[in-house]
Amino acid sequence: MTRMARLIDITRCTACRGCQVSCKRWNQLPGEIGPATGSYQSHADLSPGRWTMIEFYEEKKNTGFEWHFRKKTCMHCGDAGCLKACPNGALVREENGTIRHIEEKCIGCGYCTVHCPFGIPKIDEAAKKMRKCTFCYDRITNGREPACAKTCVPRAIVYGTWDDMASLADERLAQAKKLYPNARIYGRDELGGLGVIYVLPDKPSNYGLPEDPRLPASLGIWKQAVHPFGNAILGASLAATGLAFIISRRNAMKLEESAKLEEGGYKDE
Amino acid sequence: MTNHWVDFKNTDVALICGSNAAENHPVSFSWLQQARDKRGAKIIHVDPRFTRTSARSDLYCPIRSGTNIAFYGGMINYILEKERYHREFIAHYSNAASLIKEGFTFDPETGLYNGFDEGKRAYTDRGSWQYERDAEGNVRKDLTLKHPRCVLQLMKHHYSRYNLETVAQTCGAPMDKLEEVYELFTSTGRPGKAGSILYAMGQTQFTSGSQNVRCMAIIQTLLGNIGLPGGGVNALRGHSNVQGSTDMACLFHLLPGYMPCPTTGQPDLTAYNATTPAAPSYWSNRPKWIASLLKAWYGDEARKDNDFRYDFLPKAQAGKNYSHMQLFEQLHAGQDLKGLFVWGQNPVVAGPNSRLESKAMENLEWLICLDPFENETSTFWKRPGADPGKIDTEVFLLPVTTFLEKEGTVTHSGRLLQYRWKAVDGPGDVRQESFIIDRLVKRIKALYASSNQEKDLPIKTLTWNYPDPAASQTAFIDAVMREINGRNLTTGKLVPGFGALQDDGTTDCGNWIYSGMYTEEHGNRTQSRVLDDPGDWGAHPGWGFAWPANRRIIYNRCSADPDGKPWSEERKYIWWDGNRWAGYDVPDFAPTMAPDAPLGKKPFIMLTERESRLFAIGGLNDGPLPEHYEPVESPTHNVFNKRQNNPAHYAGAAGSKVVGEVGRYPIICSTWRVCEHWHSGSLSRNMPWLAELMPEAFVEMGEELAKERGIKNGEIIEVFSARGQVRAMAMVTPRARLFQINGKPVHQIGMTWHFGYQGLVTGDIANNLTPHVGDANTSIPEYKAFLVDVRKVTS
Repeated sequence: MTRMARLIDITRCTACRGCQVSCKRWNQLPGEIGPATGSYQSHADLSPGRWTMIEFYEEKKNTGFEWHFRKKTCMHCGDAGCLKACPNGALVREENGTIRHIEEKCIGCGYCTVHCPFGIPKIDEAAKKMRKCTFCYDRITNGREPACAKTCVPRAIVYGTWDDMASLADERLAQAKKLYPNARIYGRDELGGLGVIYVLPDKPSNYGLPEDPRLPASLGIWKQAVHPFGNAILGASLAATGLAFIISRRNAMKLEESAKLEEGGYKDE
Repeated sequence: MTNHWVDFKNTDVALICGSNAAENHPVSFSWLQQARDKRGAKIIHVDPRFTRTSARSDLYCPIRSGTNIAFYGGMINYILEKERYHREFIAHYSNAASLIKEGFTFDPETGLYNGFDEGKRAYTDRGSWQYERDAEGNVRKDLTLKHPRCVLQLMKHHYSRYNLETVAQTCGAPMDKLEEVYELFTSTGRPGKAGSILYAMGQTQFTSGSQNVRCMAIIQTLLGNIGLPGGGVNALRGHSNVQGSTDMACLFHLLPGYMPCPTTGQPDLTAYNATTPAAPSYWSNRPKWIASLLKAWYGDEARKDNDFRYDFLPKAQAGKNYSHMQLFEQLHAGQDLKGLFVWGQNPVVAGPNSRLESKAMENLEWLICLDPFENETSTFWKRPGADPGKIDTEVFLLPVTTFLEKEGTVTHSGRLLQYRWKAVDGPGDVRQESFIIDRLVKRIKALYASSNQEKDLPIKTLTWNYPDPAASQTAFIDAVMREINGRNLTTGKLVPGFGALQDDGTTDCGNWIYSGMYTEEHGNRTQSRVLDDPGDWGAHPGWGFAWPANRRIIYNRCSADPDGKPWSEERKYIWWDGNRWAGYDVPDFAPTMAPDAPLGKKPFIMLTERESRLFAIGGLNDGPLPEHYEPVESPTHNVFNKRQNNPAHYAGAAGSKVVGEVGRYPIICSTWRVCEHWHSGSLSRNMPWLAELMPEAFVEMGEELAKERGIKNGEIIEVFSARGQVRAMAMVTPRARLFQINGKPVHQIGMTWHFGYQGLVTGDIANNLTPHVGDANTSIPEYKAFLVDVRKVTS
């Protein structure tokens, strides 16, 4: 099957948040009523039960005031940090581009969370499982578009083949530039091409996106080294190398520390 | 709407004013985006606050709440001064060329038209607000549009005061933005171009709300933007079926199909029919529609020789107001009202001056609420601050289905009736409202069955022969819809449309404008789902049924020139093909009346003169031309004339008209909605997926005001007006602003009115703040502009 993608055109989004509700409805995720954030944004970040949300950005520019809304969701990256980082093969790339989470294999170690440049995966502490957007794998493998794209009224979210979305992005960009001269495409060239291609009104960092997302070159090297021995051996070898400890200390982990881990070291060595 | 939702894709310029379309009518943006993609259309947003609609518009112009007429008056002046109007259109299709009687005046010194009675606060003598007629009774016209008393010249004179500078100062709008808006929107005054105005409660909920709407009609007429794709005056109605509810007369002054409610001044049918507009207005057929309505209600007992039992209809006291505010004022005063049925409403949250209205409810002997949830109205007796021990009202809550759990039609803003089938059964013992109505009527009729009293005859006679909804809701609704459509009582067949209705008792019809929705030929057209779109204008004539007569754009004769040719090939919609009117929609005209017939060039068939009324002869209650007055609570003085407030506005009964002065309450406040919540919130605040999106009541305020008062974003603050106070979270944002009004800085803030004390998420009721005053014509409350102050909450 060909690689699929979502085009998310921020210059069209009206922040109705139909996508946010539609995602919860299709995936039967509970409402999470928390204190107000001080803006229209519903929550500070994604959660194990919130796989997409709209972030609100008020921008004062010389050319005037702008208000933009970015749908935050798993990018299903071409070069996926989470997948490379997962020690137990709980993340796999499907032919249609979905970075699919295999529930039974996930041990909730959270290694993926620190290696996602976009801060997407979240750990359900009670279930000890990672949770994130599934790209509506169950829908798209049955000829339907993802729930968020289906519900999007101004067609800010469009679903199609990666190639079609990549060229639609050019059309949309031409339109967007009329109102936002700094508009640009994001996700076409980043990390092997993302499964989400954005049309942004301005530079990525204005909307909480890394300007130049990269994975550490070392990521996954150790895993590749042990991989030929197969998963059973991998599991054993991980236990032997103290993975249980990693899990228990996950909350305390920092990015630097995990970088050290990649090199085969231990936190308290 | 004159046009419809899909038609927004046909516009060149959309002016969204007094509406937050992207948030409250998200679907509109699907079509507006298409207009942008395919036609390069521009979207203008004019609003006090920078909203998600402004964010997605090409041009945003802020104006202070309550200055719509100043803004529109400025546009009218711009059109007239720069001759941006569509000359041929207004010369033929409007009353621009008609002469108004001598004696008609407006005096900026008093701010009044002639004929005002100060004691009665009403225009009691409107004799000169009429056309001048020749000896034969024909309206005198000057087609050169030069006569000083022709409507165009009167308007030129009247609106000359609305120059850019004065308008900008009153509205607090940046002058360059204002001019840009005028220039862009009036660019649609050329043949081949079309501009659409989208509005909502930001036009209507003012003491001059009706005149705001008049302004839009005037502008669209001047620009020739009526009756053609991409044009029109388009009310985005606040509820999926609000159009249906007004069509079916859920209003105190109407019978179904916009026929007036009978009053004590019309004791018999002859007197009622004497108020029928004169031919050639299509309204002159009204006697047929009222006779058919009475036949539908009273069956065989309704006969021509007994006035079709017109005497059975309750009569409103002539001149008496029965609107929402009046009812609650009466209740507050302990007069007349013993009980209240509340359904489809939550007045404790939604009504103005909520503290007064909920206090008033304590005088009820009984209260029946129909709602899916226990909302603030059914729990008014335990509201914060109330003493339940002292309230004797007996309250009944009948749980009803939500929209997904029932079937029937809804009529959306585009006048389109669509049947909705039930998706799921409701939980427990909830019932569809029509079942409750059925049981209620049957029980009432049973109680009166043995009465021999004359006064009980209307109840005994009322026909109620529908299949039992408990057995089949579908069959019950089917029977009701057939009755609403109307039948030929001789043949027993459904009538094909309102043209077949008679005044001799041979037809019945529950609502003449819905006639044609269910016919022998087409069946129940509200259930039709054919997608064909001849002409590609989005009319989709086979999808549902649009009243009247399945017309998608009304006044569509205007899309052709006086000779019946399209004004331009680009916007070819309805035209004369030599024998009949042809096109992509049902012509809003006699199908075979040639353009050279005496009335062949007159498209506004509902009016006697068949012309669009730039000047409203006879006037609205507050004048024949819109004039700016300040909201009842305003931070500034009226600079356009020396009358501060609308002279005929609904001022409320003594005691409820509590007005705050600018010295004590210096900040303008407005109430509004957001996408995530639904009206009073009784549904959305009980729905976790929606409640989590907007979990708290908030006050949007500008950074300058926050700095001035030492308020930080996210803090709880108190907002107070002359009526009451509320606490809510401060949302400090550059989207709310400091206006410069007539040389003085004035802050504007606003709150949503979605919150109350019941549900998963709660908050103070914003309507504790709003005033009990309303529009001069409709009595709609002035929710959108009033004065408040704010303070930090220290304890």
